[in-house]
Amino acid sequence: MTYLILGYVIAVVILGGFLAGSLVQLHHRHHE
Amino acid sequence: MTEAVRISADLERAENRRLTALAGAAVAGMLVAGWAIFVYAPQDALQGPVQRIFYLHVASAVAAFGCFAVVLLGSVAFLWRGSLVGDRLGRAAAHVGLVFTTVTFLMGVVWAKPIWNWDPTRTWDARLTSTAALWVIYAGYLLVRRFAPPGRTAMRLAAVVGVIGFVDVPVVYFSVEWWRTLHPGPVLTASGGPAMPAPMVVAYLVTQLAVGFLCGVLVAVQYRVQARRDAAVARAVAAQLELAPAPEAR
Repeated sequence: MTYLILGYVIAVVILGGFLAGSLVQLHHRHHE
Repeated sequence: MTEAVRISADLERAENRRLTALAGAAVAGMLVAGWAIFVYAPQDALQGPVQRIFYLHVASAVAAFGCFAVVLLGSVAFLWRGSLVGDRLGRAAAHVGLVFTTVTFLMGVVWAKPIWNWDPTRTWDARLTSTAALWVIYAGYLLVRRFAPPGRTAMRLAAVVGVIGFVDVPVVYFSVEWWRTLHPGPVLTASGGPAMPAPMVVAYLVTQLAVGFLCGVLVAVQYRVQARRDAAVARAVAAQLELAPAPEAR
């Protein structure tokens, strides 16, 4: 179970972080 | 602000809102996939809970392959027709493909530990090595774009990497059949049909759909981000040219 949780935590952090970062870039650059 | 600039800014805001709404839908899709993986799919009798890593691990690999196919098409479009859209699409897809490759790779390493007590520093595995090479190739593609002076030369160099690099995709896919090291062979595309019960196949398909949609949204958002970056570079170059003395004044 520990490895299952670890695997999905890694995936959520990477995918969620990339999605959030991309959206921030999308909206941030609008004001430049 | 002129009328044309105001209309352009309004259109851009509307496009950003649309992409943000699509991103929200992609997150909702991933929550449905989470339900399919953790609630709907039955427990694997041999491996136990850790087998559930399979669903996102494989779906991410397929998404990464799709992204690298887009990089290939974009690169060919640029090399053949000088398509700037192709160049930008390749860049956007390379970013997203690299992220999905990272997810595939790390989830695979985590899964391998309890099942085979696997230590990658001791036992060579063809799938792991070819996937690591894939990661390096597309990281190289992005590094070329980031650090080479902007212009056609950098675009051409990256496009060549985008075309040649794709050769590693079939190598990754067939590595389990060519070398037969630790990584198991195809499960879903096994001869005679998927080597798993129907509910597991359904859970995989739901996850694949959600990941595919998320992947498409990420490429669309990255495309927009790259388009802005290109516009900023073009503005900076134009400003430099305006500052430079005219040839007759030199």
